[in-house]
Amino acid sequence: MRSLLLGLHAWLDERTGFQQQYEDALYENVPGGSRWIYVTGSMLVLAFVTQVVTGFALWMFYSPGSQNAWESVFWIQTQVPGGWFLRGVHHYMSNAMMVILPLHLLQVVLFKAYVKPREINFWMGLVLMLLVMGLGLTGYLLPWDQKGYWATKVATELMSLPPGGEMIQKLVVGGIEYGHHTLTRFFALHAGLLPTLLVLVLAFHVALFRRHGITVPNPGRRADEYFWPRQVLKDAVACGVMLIVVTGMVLYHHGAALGPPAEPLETFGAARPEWYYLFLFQLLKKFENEFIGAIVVPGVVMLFLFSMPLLANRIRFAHIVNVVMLFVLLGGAAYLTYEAIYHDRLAQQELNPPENVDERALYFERREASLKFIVSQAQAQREFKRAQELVEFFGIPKEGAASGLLKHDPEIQGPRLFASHCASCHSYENPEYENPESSNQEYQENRILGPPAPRDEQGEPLADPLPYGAPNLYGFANRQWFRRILDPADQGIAGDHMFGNTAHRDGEMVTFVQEELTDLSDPQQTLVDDIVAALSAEAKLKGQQQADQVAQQDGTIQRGIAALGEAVDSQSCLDCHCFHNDEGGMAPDLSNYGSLEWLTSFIADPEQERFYGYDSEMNDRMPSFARHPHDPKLNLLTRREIDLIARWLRGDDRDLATSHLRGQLAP
Amino acid sequence: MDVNKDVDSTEESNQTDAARRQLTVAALTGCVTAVVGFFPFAAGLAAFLSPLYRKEKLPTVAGTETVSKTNFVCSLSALQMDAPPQRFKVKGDQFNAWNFEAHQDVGDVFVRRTAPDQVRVLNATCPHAGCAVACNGTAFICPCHNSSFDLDGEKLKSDSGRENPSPRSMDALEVDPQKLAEGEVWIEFQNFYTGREDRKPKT
Repeated sequence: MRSLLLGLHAWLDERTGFQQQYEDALYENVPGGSRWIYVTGSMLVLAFVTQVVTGFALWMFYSPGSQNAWESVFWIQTQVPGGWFLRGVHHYMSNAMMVILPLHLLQVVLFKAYVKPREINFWMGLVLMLLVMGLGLTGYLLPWDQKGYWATKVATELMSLPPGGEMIQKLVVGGIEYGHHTLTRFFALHAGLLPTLLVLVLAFHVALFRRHGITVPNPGRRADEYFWPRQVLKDAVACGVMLIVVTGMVLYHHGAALGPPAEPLETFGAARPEWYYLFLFQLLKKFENEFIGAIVVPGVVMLFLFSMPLLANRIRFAHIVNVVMLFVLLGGAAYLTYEAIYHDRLAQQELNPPENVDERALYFERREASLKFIVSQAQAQREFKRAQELVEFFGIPKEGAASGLLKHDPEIQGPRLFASHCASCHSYENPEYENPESSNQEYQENRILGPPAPRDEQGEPLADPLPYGAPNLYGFANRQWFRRILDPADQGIAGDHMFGNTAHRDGEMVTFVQEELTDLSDPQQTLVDDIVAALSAEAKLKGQQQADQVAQQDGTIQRGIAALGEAVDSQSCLDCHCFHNDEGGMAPDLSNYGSLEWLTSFIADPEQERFYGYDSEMNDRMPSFARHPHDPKLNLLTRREIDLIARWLRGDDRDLATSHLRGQLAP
Repeated sequence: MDVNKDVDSTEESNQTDAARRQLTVAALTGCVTAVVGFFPFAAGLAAFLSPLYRKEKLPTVAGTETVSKTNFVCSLSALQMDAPPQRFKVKGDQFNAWNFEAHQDVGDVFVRRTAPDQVRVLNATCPHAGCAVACNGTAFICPCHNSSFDLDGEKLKSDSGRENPSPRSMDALEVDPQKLAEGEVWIEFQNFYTGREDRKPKT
């Protein structure tokens, strides 16, 4: 057996000379002995090999194209056994490369391994760094989710800045607008061109490294060693640690994040690049002239990095300057990254506005932007979860998840339409929740910010602003909603969540509640509760079905209806409102209040007789979104859009098993 | 002697001939190698560069050969005076590589009625870096780098420490005056290059 192996060895060696080659590799002299600081190169090679292998595996499932890309990545993430792990490793290993690359650069510069005769190898290293960053950028778009789409869109918009950049932009994007060809081109770059270039440059980099040997500032420190076995052991241990950390990250985050599918015409409030590009993102905020922030500053930095060896060759103290500058640059990038994250998370910090007047206004502005970011990010997560529910329930139709499923779903489209068309007045957030700045995921996910409270020059909220808002529509027409309307306390009918920011705050209804419904006796309060139950039952909300049934059976609703007509002091509800009759008519009709029909009609035209039409002064700024049922061109929203908003507000389709989508989308 | 001299000169001319031939062969080899080596790149060049010059062609069924330049946005009567800007999706012909669909959402605009017979239509794309801006009722704010604009789309001042990295105000789109007189808002929808002070259409 042994002689057979030896024979095979000799036969192969005679034909390939491989023994000489691996001996050269393993018995490379390491002056001063093996060291932990040399491990970064091997780690990068292993990381790259992992990317190639996991990349090929992902390739077997991925399909570029705007109706396929997200769907195929979603499939990898949720359906392919181990797919989430595979994609997670690919994602976090790229993160690991971004951490180790600067360390490798730092080691090379600290050990002065970049000066003559190693300049070219140093430049190769910088080229490799740019290639890795290019791989990160191109890879981020491929899942075609909202965050990848918008982050990459910004990056390609910047490409048009330098002279001739418009042509480069068109070539990269594959046309003027993003589409199939953007994905096919990015995929060709990510999986074809860039890795090929990387392999070629890496081969050159390693060959030159072997030619020049290892550079050590103080080789006499310890006896020389061969690369094998001690340095190999150190490299292997470091690689092992890297793998453990990457695996830990993958398991902890359950793979790489995936957002909802890209929607080119939806504002995405949480568009951010991957963390390793955040320093460039933050840099863009600093300059009014984008050309400086996006091209000049990064260009000068790269130019400096490339000229480092030439400077150190010629000028006496240049090496020291180079080392200091490198620390400054890496420190600067780290600081900008920190600042970007800090600004995005500002709303979750304790309120601590600066004393300086100018800074104060900016502080409040940043806080507002941060809150928007946090809410948008949570919203994206909610949309992804919902997309997952839809896919599990209906499967993905061939036109893709975005246009085949998400477009029809009130739970996805309702909040988006609300944000575009209603949120300049209305908010949507759980008013029972005490700490609006908290990081409670469920709270933030189900939240749409309304208009910001008007502030003065110093950023302080105005004491008594003109009406600028409208009720918070969370839980519209449920029992808490009516309880708030009939609540005279500060956070009741005249509070911020109800009519506090509208012209109705000085209206008859508020006056009635505040004057007549304060200090009620227990039996009176019970009657108010009965009214609440009765009115809320009119909406026939799915989420309240059981409670409504109970109230129907135990007579609460009947008592409530009767109480509508009973006068408190001198006035009853029905003196102003109609309720399944034609009396009243001095205030909105309460019959079927909050039902799908009532709500869609109200949004379509609040100035109808049954709503605010009885008095032209009564409607406070609410537009008629579809006043012309027979001529859709004249309307602000289509019937379908209004239906999506109303169904979402009522929560009609939250449960897919009882949703109307079942009849609409099921095959 | 003469003979020898002749031999010398023949040898000399033979040598220069050989050198010349060598040079010719080298030049020829260089040319052939260059052509052969360039071929793989040349084969794909036209396709690779096609985004620079290819024009979208409407399918025959569309009935016309040119893409319609104006797009319907909304009716004038739908817009109230003094109301915050309303958001509309602009419909038009959509090309996406091999896909074509008519009457799709191709753009995103904000419309505000500034006078009984006047509207201001703004492209919702932020002129800074191309994100879609949002309106909070009193201003347009871009969620990406905090660019901010007033309701007319004018860039808000970046004094008193306010961050506003946008190089220009939001892009107003031209409204068809004839259609407006007839009570409808039609625009020539157009995207512009971002990050520059001047307004350069993307074509």
